Amino acid sequence: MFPLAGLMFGREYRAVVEAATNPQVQIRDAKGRDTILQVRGLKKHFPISAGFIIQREVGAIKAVDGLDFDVFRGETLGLVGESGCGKSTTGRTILQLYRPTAGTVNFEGTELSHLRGEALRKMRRHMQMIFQDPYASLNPRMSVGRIISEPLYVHNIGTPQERMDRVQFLMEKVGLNPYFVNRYPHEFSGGQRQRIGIARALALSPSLIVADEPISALDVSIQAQVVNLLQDLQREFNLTYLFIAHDLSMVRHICDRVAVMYLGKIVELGPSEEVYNNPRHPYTQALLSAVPVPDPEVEKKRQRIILRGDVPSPANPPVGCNFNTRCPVAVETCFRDEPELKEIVPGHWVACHLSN
Amino acid sequence: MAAAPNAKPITLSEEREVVRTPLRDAWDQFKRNKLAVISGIFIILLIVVSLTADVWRSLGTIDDPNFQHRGSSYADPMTCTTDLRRMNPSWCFMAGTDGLGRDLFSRVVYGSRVSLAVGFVGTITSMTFGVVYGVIAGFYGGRIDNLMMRFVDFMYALPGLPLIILFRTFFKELENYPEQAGDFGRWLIQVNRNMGGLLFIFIVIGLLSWIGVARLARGQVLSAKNKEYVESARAIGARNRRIIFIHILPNIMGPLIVVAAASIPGFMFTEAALSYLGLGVNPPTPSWGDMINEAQVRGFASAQHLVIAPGLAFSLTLLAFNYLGDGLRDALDPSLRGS
Ligand SMILES: Nc1ncnc2c1ncn2[C@@H]1O[C@H](COP(=O)(O)OP(=O)(O)O)[C@@H](O)[C@H]1O
Ligand code: SF4
Ligand SMILES: [Mg+2]
Repeated sequence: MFPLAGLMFGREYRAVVEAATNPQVQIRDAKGRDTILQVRGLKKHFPISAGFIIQREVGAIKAVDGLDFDVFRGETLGLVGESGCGKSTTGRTILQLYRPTAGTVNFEGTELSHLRGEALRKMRRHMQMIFQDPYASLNPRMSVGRIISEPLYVHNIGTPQERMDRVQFLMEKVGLNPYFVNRYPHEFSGGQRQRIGIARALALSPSLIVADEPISALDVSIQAQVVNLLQDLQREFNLTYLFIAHDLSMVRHICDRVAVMYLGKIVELGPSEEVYNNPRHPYTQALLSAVPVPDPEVEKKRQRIILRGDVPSPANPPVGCNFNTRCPVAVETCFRDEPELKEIVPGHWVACHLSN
Repeated sequence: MAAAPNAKPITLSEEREVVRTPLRDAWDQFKRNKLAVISGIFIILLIVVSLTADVWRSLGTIDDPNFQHRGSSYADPMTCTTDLRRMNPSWCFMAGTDGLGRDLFSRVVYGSRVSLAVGFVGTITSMTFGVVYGVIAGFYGGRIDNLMMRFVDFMYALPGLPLIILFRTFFKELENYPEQAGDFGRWLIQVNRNMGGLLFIFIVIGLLSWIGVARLARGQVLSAKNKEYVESARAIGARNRRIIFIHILPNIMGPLIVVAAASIPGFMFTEAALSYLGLGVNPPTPSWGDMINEAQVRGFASAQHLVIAPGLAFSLTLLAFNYLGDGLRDALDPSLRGS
């Protein structure tokens, strides 16, 4: 029989599962850090088709247009940017919920974009997602117990009794009363529902969790609780987070490193404090200038950089630097050449012609 | 409020928790609609009566629907006659008789079988086909969806009535050759005969009217499959079959059930319309549509009672199904309720 006692203790359990199913490959970068996820040249284009009987492709929404980044084991990498810049698409493409148009996603030594069918399905137990809308992400026809135990069920783990024990353990871990195991999602508040979603994501003891704006839909009063919960769980279960958010100030508190996205591309990537205190990209600077500062003296002197115009359509991004339509400091080359994401100082990457 | 000293303490085991399942919520909502509840009870009674008609006949409550009482044609309601077949010397026609002296009330009771049968056969056929078709198209999407929906457009343009006439003639001929059919075929032909020849034709009609159901099911699947809970099912590694049967179907069942309930009276109407065109039940099988049609042919002026019993039964049944459909819609269609 499967040694399910380990189920109770996330980390040990994962070690058992991994030893059995996924001989873990460690990829170390030049500095010897353990890279859990390596994303290279990732693109996701949604075709725009027209035509009545014969559908023709007349263009593409370039939701994600060439991303390169690594995620290190145990860290929290923030992915921030305005709504519509492609953050959710990035998360979903990494998890292969959308198949990438181009590029590679290497997760613990396995190339995900090549996996199909059963192989991909089996791989899913190691990477999970927490969704933005706690009202839409739980099947209204399933009880909490069934929702949380479903991952165990679909991967055929444990007996029904062991699954129920695991559900109880998870509910306690995320701060839900296990007494409500037979209740249905509509009886819970937004914050409680998000906890159900978190418990479901934890059920298989994954190593990577993509959290897609897990607190944006919650009341401000509950946001901090859920963030603290996520941090506690990260410590306890040795989780790696790709934490998606649309607002930089939130991310600073949670993330070790942060990647700023604009129109399907990463414009700046670096340690949170570094990006926050010393933003190099004009877009990041503009975003940060909009964040109020608690110190009234500093707040008085704070200069807001107001960006002109709207975000261009991802179906038709500008030539050259895709920020050139709104950049306050754009120069001639910006309209001709696309800036590369370059390491300006060790660990701090910027995609701007002016930052060299 | 101070607790009475001898009040029983509430223990956990005694506190029976009411689990509020979505189905239970729907039922509570449905119960609030009195008209729908009454309609539901009426329909259940009707089904029971139609299934047990032979029992009532053997008990002598109703008559053989095809027995022709000589000399009692066009008898008025509540007239009585001598019944030579029974020890009971007198037989009263509650709803009168038709031109052949057949007891109208008994014919109405037996006629409910045809009406209910065509309603359910047509609905089951069109729902089965439409749901399977629409779910496949909506779930797999893309080119498959496009092709399948073009075929639906083609079906939409198909002229229904000429096809029905064609098939009706074809099946009438087919019934004459039971010896060439297998066991199942012979059983089907027998059922068809009991339904006055309408079983096959309503399968055809069902097959001609699944288009609307397919479109509805497809639309529902398209919107359900983009819900985050479907995506989350995919993210945990659920297979397509599980996603369809556990995550999509239960969530689109509401509108489908509503449409099913609403389509039953439509098929009953079709039966009446076919009778009107002379394409209805084979005589002497009693059917409401045929009886109303006959009353109309005889002229209401000469024998008004001919239309009263079947007309009343038909209208009440149609109304009941409509009210039931309304009640189900309020209870089950999540677009009209807060989730
Ligand atoms: N399934 C899809 N089909 C077509 N376009 C999409 C789809 N998902 C997202 N998009 C488009 O891709 C862009 C990025 O969307 P998204 O990744 O959701 O942004 P974010 O999460 O940063 O708000 C948007 O312009 C959006 O309209
Ligand atoms: S490359 Fe040019 S347009 Fe783009 S952010 Fe830098 S300065 Fe602005
Ligand atoms: Mg998003």
